[in-house]
Order: sequence, then C-alpha cells, then structure tokens
Amino acid sequence: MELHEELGAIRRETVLDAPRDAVWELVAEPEGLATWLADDVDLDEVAPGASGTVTEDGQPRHVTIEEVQEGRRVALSWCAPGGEPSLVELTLDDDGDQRTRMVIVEVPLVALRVAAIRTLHASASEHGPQMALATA
Amino acid sequence: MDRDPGPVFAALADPTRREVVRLLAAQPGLTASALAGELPVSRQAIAKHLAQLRDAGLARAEHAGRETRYRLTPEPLAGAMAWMVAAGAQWDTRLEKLKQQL
Repeated sequence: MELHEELGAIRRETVLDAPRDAVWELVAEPEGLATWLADDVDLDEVAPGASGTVTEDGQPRHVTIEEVQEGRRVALSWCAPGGEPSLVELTLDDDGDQRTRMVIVEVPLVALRVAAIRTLHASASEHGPQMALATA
Repeated sequence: MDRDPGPVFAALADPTRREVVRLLAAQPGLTASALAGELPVSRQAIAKHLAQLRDAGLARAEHAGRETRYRLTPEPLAGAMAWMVAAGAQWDTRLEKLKQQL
C-alpha cells in the first residue's frame, strides 16, 4: 500500500488537454478556482496565508492557502463546519507541449500530524538527546 | 450522521498501529505480550498503541483470568471509508468541471 492510502488520502491524477500555463490560471486565481473547485470562492488571492470561504452545494468551507509554487503547485487546507479538516495539494506537470498532468491529493490533517510526529521522533533519535529535547 | 472519522485516521496513520491491526485481524485475541513478540517494539509501546486503537473504537480488550486479550472492532472504519468515498466523488465532479473550462 502506498503512503497516501495508509494516511486515508484521496488521490486523483488526470491529463488535461491544455498547456500548463492555461491550467495554472484556473488554479492560482480565485476567479479560476470559482469555475471548477466550488460554486463560490470568496478569497482575495491564491497566496500563502490567504484565507477565505469556498461554498459547494450550499456547504461553506473555511479555506487557507498553505503553499504556492509558481506554475506548479498549490497547497490549501480546508474544513467544513463539523467536517474533517484536510490538506489539498494540486500539482501540475507538463505532459508534452500542449497537455498537463494534474495530481490532486487530499489528506486528513490529523493523519499528517501523526506522520509528522513520527518523523520528528525518528530525527530526534538519529541526532541524539539534544535534538530530542529541542523537538520534544 | 457518521461518527467523526478523525480518530480512525489518526490511529491508522501510524505504521506500528497498522501492524497491530493486521496481526489482530489474522489472530484475534492476541495479548499485548504476544503482539510485542511479533513486532520490533516494547510491550509498553504496544500497550500505548492498543490504548489508541481502543480510543478510536477499533479494538476492545477482553479480560480472561489474568490475561487481557485484544480483538478488532472494525465498525468505525465505515465512517473513515465514507469520508474517503464522499471526498473522492467530489474531486471527480470538480475535475469534470475543470475539463469543461479548457
């Protein structure tokens, strides 16, 4: 089993019939996201730290942009009221000159937290007790 | 409404706990000592992992004399699966909309 499945993640991969810069406009602009990600996107900009609300089927979600790698990747976290907070990563790659491969991964935040704590522990034991104190 | 799937995701995000779940699925009724014998971790660590699996509703303890035996109670997995199925279906819908824009 791959890591993403073990963490309860959803993964979708698709090849889009458009060059990467055209897809990027739909991913990195609130107006672009509003055409496909949700029915309504209330977000000033797609930049790290920006937050707002996206509404889909009448259900609002609070959204925060976590990371933007120009032309390639947007990571956001979101959560519907009473729902499961999750991290979403949208990654674009060229697939030839005129097509774009898009990978979407959505992972429950709680699973990422457990995995991160394990990584910290492993790194602490590799680097000895001082590092362990620093990360405790 | 489904139970919050968060505790199940947290419980299964750890590879040792997943190993414990696999062992209990294959051999229901194992004790913490027997589990520790199968895995490269201490009995104390196994006890903590079992406590987390119990908190997530994924395992229960049975007291038989001086022994405590563990069994899986997989019902909460349904909530976690439902979350994954629903979230996956939403992405399929969004991707269809995205393709229509290009």
